[in-house]
Amino acid sequence: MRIGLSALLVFVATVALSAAAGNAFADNYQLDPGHTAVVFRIGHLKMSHTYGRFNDVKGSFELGASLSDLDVTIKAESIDTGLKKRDDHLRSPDFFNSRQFPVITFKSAKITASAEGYLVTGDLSMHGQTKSVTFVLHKLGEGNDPWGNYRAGFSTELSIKRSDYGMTNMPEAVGDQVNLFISFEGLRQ
Amino acid sequence: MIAPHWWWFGAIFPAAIAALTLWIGHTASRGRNTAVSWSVAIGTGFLVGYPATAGVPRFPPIEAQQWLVLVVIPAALLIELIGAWHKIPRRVTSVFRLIVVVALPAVLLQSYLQYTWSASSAAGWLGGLAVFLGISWWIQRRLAARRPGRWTAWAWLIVVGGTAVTILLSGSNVLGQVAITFTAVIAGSAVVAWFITPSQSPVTVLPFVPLIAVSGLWLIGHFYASLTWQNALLLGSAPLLPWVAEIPVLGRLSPTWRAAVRLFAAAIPVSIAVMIAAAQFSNEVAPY
Repeated sequence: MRIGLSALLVFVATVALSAAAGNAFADNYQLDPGHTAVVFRIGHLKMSHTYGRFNDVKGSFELGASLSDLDVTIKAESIDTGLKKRDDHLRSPDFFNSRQFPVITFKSAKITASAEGYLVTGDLSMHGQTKSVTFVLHKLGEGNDPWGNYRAGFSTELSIKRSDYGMTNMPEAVGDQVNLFISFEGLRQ
Repeated sequence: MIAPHWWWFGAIFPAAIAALTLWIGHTASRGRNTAVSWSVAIGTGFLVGYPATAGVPRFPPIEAQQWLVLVVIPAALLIELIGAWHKIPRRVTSVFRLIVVVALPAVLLQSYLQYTWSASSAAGWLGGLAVFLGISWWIQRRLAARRPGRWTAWAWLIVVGGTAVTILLSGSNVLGQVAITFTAVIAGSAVVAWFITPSQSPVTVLPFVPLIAVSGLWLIGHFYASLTWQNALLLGSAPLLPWVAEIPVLGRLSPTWRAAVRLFAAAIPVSIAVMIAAAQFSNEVAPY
């Protein structure tokens, strides 16, 4: 009986400490560039959608009992819509002004578990301006890959307005709403 | 692709404001404060026209063109206002001008300092650009003092107009439209200057403010957009070439013909830059 009570106390203390520590025992993951995609969709002439992606994406997160510290850095120069002249124009001061604002960053401020995955709120900085965004991040899976590396994968979709980031040029031709489709895998370090 | 209504708010209206401001200022002061009126006319016209392209300027500025519009050009105008109005010693005004010239590249190329250049590269670039702009201003200033007249307004109209077309053809709508607004402001005031006798022309103010504005456009166009260094150099050399009219062989020409030579000399590099940009534009253009 005495041993049983001690075991219960140890169990309760462990649970309480874990809860207090939060994600203190989480592992660090670095985004795997080969399995990370930031794809966007934007309206063209109110007739169709144009798709593009950013080819240079780096980042990290902490994953243990929960997810935390999601940081993503995207090189604006790496925009790719499949047409060089359009990409050059998108890099110019008319849009991203990528030589003046070379990186797009996201830094999470609050992540809470939700029924669908994680509800992530953080600061998205682009074109010299920062706005808070919130999105649901779905956890797709985690485990060892065939080469023995431990991975965790996530995906999300969100919408932003380019005008919120000071990109207001060519409103007749290019839509204001931008849909982002993001998928990434992190490699445990 | 410039919307048709933009021309009213981004070019015609600011040109009219600049012309009206210069005319009222000149008339009200009976020709005594034309230089001040010219500064106010350029500043007012440009600030009225700028929002048509880039919206109401935000403060503090973020983008280089916002720094140009909200900080650099007002600083240049302020120096001219102080120099013209309060009759402070010329040396003091010159020192202020020198500060603006030297600070211009550093203010506009902040992100290169932050992300791209090493300390030695930054010192080389910023020093070189400051020296070039300083010498350019000094050379133009000397010619304006030596040959005062309305030709300076028209020479700057050629240089700024050519800059606008070249930048537009180089693929930056916003910067090109900002340059068009500036061209319209110079054009509006140049038309009024035509009716002001040469002795009253505000030549003392003209070389500095457009030099600062257009140099800023060249820097932003080259370092942040697609203005090639060849075209930037051609445009940068244009305000210096009117000195050609000072060679002794042309000394026998009448003042009107010499003014025409000055304008022609400025137009040559500008035309070459426009043609190069146009050829590149027609080679690369494709709807997307």
